Order: sequence, then C-alpha cells, then structure tokens
Amino acid sequence: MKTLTAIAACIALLGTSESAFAFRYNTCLGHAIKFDSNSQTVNASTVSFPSGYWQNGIQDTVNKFNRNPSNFRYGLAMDSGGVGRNNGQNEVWGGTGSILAGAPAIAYTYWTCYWLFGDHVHMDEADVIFDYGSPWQWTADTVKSSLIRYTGSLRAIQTTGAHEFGHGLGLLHVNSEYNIMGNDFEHIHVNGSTATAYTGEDAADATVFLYGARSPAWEDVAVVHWKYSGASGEYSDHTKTVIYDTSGAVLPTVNVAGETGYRVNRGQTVRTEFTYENNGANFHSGIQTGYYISTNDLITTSDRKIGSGSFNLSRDNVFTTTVDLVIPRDLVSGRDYWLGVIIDDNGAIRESVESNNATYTPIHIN
Amino acid sequence: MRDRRWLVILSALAAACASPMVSAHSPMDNKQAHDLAQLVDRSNLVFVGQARKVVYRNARGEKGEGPIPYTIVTYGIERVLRGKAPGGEITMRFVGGPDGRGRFLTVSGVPVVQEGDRDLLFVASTEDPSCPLVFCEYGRYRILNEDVFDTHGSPVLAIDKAVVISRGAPPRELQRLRFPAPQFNELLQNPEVAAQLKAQNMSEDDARRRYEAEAPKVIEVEVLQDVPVAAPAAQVDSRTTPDARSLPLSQLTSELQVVLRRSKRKPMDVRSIDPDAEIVPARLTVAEPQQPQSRSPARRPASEAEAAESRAFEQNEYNPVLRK
Repeated sequence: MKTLTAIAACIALLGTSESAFAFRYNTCLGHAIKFDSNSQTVNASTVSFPSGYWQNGIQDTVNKFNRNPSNFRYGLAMDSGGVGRNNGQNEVWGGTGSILAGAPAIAYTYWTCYWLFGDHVHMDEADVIFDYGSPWQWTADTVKSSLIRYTGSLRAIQTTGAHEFGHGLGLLHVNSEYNIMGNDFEHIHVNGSTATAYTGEDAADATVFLYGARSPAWEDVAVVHWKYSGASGEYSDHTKTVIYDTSGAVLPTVNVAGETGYRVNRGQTVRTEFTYENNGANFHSGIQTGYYISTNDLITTSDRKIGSGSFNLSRDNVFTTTVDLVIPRDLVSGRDYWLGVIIDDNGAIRESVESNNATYTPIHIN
Repeated sequence: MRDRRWLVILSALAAACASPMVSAHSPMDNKQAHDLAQLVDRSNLVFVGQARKVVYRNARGEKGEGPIPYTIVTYGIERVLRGKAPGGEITMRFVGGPDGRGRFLTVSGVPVVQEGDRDLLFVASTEDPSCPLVFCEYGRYRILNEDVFDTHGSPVLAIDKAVVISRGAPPRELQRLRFPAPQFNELLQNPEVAAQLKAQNMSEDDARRRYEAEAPKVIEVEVLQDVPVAAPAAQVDSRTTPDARSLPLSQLTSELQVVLRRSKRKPMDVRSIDPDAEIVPARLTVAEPQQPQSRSPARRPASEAEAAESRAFEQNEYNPVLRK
C-alpha cells in the first residue's frame, strides 16, 4: 500500500513525575500470602462449563491468564464430580443465589497463617464462582461485538475470570492505574473483531514479584485503546482512549460502527491517545511504533502508515500518552476510517504474544 | 488548590454518570453501590456502632466440603438513623474469617470486621447466610477519629447528589486486621500441623510448652502495596494521594438525613442472630450456562483488500506485522 511521508510522532510525556502505586497483596506475620508452588490446577465443573463453547472459554481464560512473565502457571482440568468450598481443590463453577453475595463473580480463598517454631504462611485453595443468574449475561468467546462497552451486552468470562484467578494468586484490588484487578471488563485488548483478555502490566509485575520471573524470559509489549479514568472505591475505572485537537480539547464524537469515533478534518493535526504496556520480563528501549489509517477496524502493517515514533517501556508502569499525527488530505470526506497503532511494527522484539500489538480508534472525515 | 480538586472530582463524577461501571464484586451498576438513596431504600436498619465482640465459628459445609468459617460480630449501637434496632446491640454474621486452626477464609466482596471497628452500616437482613449488609461490603462505611472512610478505607471526600465520592490511600489503621492466634489444641487439629510435629519427632507436651511460651498471641494481616514508581502526572489520580481529607461523620449523617426523609419504603424489623445457633451457609449451587443472547450488528461486507488482509492476519497467527 502507498505510504505517505511519515511525520515524526511526538511522544509527549505529560507533566512532572509523581508516585504511582500499583499492585496490592496481603501479608500475614509479615509474609506475602501466596501459593507455595508455582503451578496450580483449577478444576472446572463440567455442568457449568460443558464441552465445546463454554469449556473452550474457561480454557481460554486460563491460557490468557498464563500469558505473563512469572514462573506461576494455572492448569485446567475438567471436574465431572462435585465442586465445593474448602475441599482441597481449586475449582471454578457457575452458581446462583447468596453464595455470591450479590456479585457477578466471587473468589473464596483459603490460606494458612500460624506460628509453629517458625511462621507458616501460604495460600491453600482458590474457588471462583461466576453468577449464572439474572442479571448477569456471559460470553465465553472473543467476539468484540457481543461485549458490553462495544456493541453488545455480554460480559466475557475471560476478563472476569482473569480478575478472580488474580485473587487466587494473592492479588488484591487496585484503584490507582489501568489494571485487571480494577474494573476487569474494561481491561481488554481489541483489534478487528477480536477482543482478548490479558493480565496487563500491573498484574504481570505482581506475579513476578510474588512468584519470580520465568526462564527463558517472557517478553511482551502491547497497546490498547483503554486507559485509567479514576478510582471507584477499591477498583480502578477505565475508559476508552480519545483523540484531542492540538490544544488538548477532545474532538467531537460520532458513532462509527457502534463505537465512539472522532470527527476529524483532512490535513488536521490530531493528538491521538493510546495506552502502551510492557507485560514482559525486561525493559525495552527505542521500541518502534507505527501509526496507520485503515478502512476497517483491523490494523495491520498492510494499512497505510501515517506516522511513527519510538519510546522506552519497562514493566513498572502503564503508559498512556498522546502522539501528534496529520490526517491525510486524500481521505474521502464523509467516510469512516480507523486510526491504528502498531507497537514494535518492525518486529524487533522477540515476543511471546504478538497478537496484542495493534489497536485502533475510529474516526469520521468531516 | 481546593477548587481544582473539586473540579477534578466533579469531572470524574460526570464521567461515571455517563457510563455505568460494574466491578467484579459489586452490584449491577457500581454507582448504585455509592448511592445513599439506593443504600437507604434497600436497608431496614441504618446505624452507627462499634464492634464490641467478635467471635469466629465454623459452619458445616455441604457434602464434600470442608468447614466454612464465619465471623460473628456484635455491634454496640450508638445511633439509629433508620429502622428499629433490636436493642442496644445487634449481632450479625459474615462469611469468612479464621477457622481457629491456622487457616483463614477470605471471600472477595465480603468485609472482615474486627473488634473495635467503628462503622456506619446499612443492614438489609441478618437472615442472609453470607452478608447482612446492602450490597455487602458497600453497605459499610468506616469511621476513624470521627472521619468517614469507605468500605476499603479510602477517605470519603464528598457527597454529590446523594452519591458518595471516596478516593485515596487508606490510613494504615484501616489496612490491618488482627485476630487471636489459634489455641494449641485447636492448631493440632490442622493436618499440616500434625504432620510437622510428627516430622520433627517432637512430643505433643514439648510442642505445647514451646508454643504457649513463644507463639504470638495475635495474628496480624496487613495489606501491602507495590513500591511507588515515577509516573507522568497525567496518569496518576491525584485523589489517591494520602493527603486527601475525609468528611466528618457529622456531615455524612446530616446528608444522610435528607435522603432518609425522602425514602418511601418502610423498613422491616431486623433481628439479632443467635450467636450460638447452628450456622447454615449459603447453599452450594452449580448452574448450567445460559446461551448468550446478545445480538451483533451486521458488519459492512469486507472489500477484497480487507478480506485479503484478514486472511493474511490469521495466517500470520494474528501478528499485525505482516510478512511482505
């Protein structure tokens, strides 16, 4: 595809440095409460996750959670027998009624803490229960259009499951940055029609802190169109990233294929916001990032490149920032486009997960 | 400075109003959880009180389940704001807590109360087998030095149109939980402990003497946080800084009085539970999934170039950097 002259992307580090607090965990007698072992099996009820669609969904949840740089891994087994609380097994099932205390999902975690000629502190069992009763509606696939916050009304078991499995590892809620232990259903990667749950930078950091880094090193950089928007009690709230004009005002919005798009003019310089994360083990410098215009919501390097930039990312902070881009003058007035971003678009980093390297914001040409 | 903070708070509130938030453990809409009108309408008793007595008991689980620990709390009632208190005290139970044998159950979304805690509580029903409060943990506001904090310990900063706005780091006092260490005889019931004594070839009497002399009398649990890192100011919620000043209890209760006067639902009687009665835990249900009903809007048919891009993307294992 024809590529216009790329403009130098201006990575604007806004403001001065402050302290960002992130992952939280419980200690007992001064020791972190966590599993002694770096692998745990979760038994899923075959009643709640019958073979096919639902079993694939819970397997996908575990797989996505395991995409992190720590030594810890969950395994999944299907449990055709009974499930239960405090039975010595980590289990996941769907339930109804007061066992859920009014929540869409809940984690029952059993842990040990006592002194007997030394401190004995460890996680014993984590049971995750999804509320399968009204009003909750779940999906077990990765189709973006069915999800709440996109064009549907369903909640993905993958994002909520990742949140609850996080509790199982010993992680607590976080309200100070974009992260899976906040509002999980607004913590998701999207490119094209696919929405993918992921643990994210902060949970990756936490799992490495608690369980150590795996070898060989797990590397993963990512970009999403979500960002931190504030705290709601113990949870972080998230909202979609936006497009500003050069004075910092949010551009007028318009519905583009069911999502919020931004009205732009041909030749206009816009300030495009995305959130960049290093979900892997090591610091990366000079990561090449490309900005693209696409005729659909799937962003790949086959789209038209309109800008580039490079920056550094380490696994200690979620990085939401803006880049100035010029909207090409030859786009068709009155049409919808998608302003895309691809992190590491030269493929320089050998990553364990490449599929989370691109996302978009819809635009409409005035 | 103060004016700017209010602007930030109100902007955040406006954003929150625009889109309902749902947390993993909250009601359908997060906003409900902080809405005094919702809390009042769903409550049958609202009071300020202090946890005078906390005891821990184990309920028998269902077939195949181990014991399920419960925390039984008796609050001394200082002031009733709605409904009729059963007397000067009320006893309630919450699922979770220590089992007395060295293990503990934490249930996400269910508060853990300890002796001495002073709270403003919205009680729905003491009959509930898991949690007696409206929206469970969200029906609890904590009081420290006459200031109010939310259920998680974040300072309550403002009330806007009956919605409580709380932000910021909790004081350390609200991040700690203490409970009695197990008695030696109870600890011995823990199979892990029994195995350790056997492995160490230590007599029960020797172990008991040492335990009673050396073991801490109280087990302390504390929430810790990752060390701070430098972050651009734009990514940090300035309201999470610990200098956030919480509202005094008197201001919250006076705002609450306005909401209480508007409530049309008559509260029902709330009774204390019998702390010695057998605890019947929430019934274990295992449900089948419902087929998703969400309808997807029709997508515009892909052009030839878009279809080719999509195929290339799939063949490239969803890596957006396509091979030339």
